[in-house]
Amino acid sequence: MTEQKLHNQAGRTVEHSGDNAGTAFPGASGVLFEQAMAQTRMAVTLSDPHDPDHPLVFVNRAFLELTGYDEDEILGRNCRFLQGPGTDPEAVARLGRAVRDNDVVVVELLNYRKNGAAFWNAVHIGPIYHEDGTLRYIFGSQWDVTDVHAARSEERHARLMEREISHRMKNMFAVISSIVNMLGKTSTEPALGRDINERIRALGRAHEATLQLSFQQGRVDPTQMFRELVGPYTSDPRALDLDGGAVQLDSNSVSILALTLHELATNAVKHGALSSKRGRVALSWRMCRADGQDQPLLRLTWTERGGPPLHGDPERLGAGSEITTRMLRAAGGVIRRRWDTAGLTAEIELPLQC
Amino acid sequence: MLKHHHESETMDEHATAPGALKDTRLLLVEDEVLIAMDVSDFLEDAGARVDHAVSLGRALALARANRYDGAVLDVTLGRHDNCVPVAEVLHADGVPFILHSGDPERQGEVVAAFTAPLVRKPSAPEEVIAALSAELRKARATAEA
Repeated sequence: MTEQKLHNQAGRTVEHSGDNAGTAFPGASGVLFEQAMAQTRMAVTLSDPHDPDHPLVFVNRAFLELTGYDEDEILGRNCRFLQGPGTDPEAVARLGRAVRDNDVVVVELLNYRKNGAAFWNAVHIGPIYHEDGTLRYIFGSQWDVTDVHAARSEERHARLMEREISHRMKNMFAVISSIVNMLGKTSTEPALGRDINERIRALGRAHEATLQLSFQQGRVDPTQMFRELVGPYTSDPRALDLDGGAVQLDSNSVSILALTLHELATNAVKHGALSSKRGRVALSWRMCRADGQDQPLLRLTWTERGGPPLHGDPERLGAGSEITTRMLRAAGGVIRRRWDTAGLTAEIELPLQC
Repeated sequence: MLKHHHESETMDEHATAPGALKDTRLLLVEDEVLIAMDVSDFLEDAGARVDHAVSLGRALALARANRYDGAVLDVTLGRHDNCVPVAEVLHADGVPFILHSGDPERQGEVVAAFTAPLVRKPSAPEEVIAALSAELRKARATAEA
């Protein structure tokens, strides 16, 4: 019987019964099968579907290496000896149903080696038929996917953590906002609470928009952050034109950009292009290097058009604008504002960490 | 798409005028006490009487025992609950409400199940008042029609 011959450990030269003669692939001789099974790193088993317990009748070398058993310990036994306390009964049941229905199925389940160590096993099983169409073996292949599982669960965990952090951060911003609101109402300057809160919310939006980006891995696209920062100040999405590539950001730069753009946007709503229905703001940016400097520089240009005509420079800058100017200077950067009749143009330079 | 209320919409003079919620009786469900105090304050400043619940159980009891004109619901409540059960009670009674949440992405399915507007935290008081006033106006128009 072929089964008896196949019991021999893979790799040994085995006499072949000739059962494969006449199959479509003439090279599929027993010797070839044995050698292929011995070479492949894929763990392969055959079990006997005619015995009620479906005992293993063949296992290859990779299977023995994967599971840690010797051949004579497992041949003749059902492969459920690989299961253990962490094995999902539902996954096992799916394998059972596939065997019963002569189906092909791939199931990932937690299995255990002889030494008790658990591993994730991607088990593929399917029927192998005689030429006359009757069932001959149940084929099984096993692949250790523990690494894949770990990577997947790490990724899931990272996503969960990211959402959790995002939620907590927004909640923290919301709580700070509430405290400022309540204190502001009781203070002699109720407008102060509002001014502070607008900036807290701008910071919140900017950091939220960049939460998914990894600042450690090079340049990132700040478009979404800029949209979150300026978008709320206009109900017309066409009023905002964003144009620029990826830049090297870090958390500090995000805060500076958030407060700067908040300042420009609120002023545009009060006096500039965003106070008018047809007003437009174009924000463009690029990375460059200042002359003779190694540190990269982010250069932004904020251009307002379509607002009310301007009549020269304003008599004085608002407190918020003064703070923005000082903040950028403290960061080693600069903001230059130019009030043309057509509207404000602001050029901002911010040195970036590299 | 979730409906977002931004500062620009707070330009709505009707909604932000003092007394925009005059003589309304509102339910506020918010598990973060400081946020609850603040929201409750500015809703009252806008003319509303506000009942506040910090837990789902308390919110359900209030929603069942009283007839509210409107409600502001935090989506996530504590570690395990969300506002869906209380939203269902309000919806069945025809009480308009808005959702006030810091994590609409995490609660995406929950939030999307309602057509109620969502105000993202951290929010400006005007955003909350404007969104809620609009819902109240809509509900009144529906009732009159």
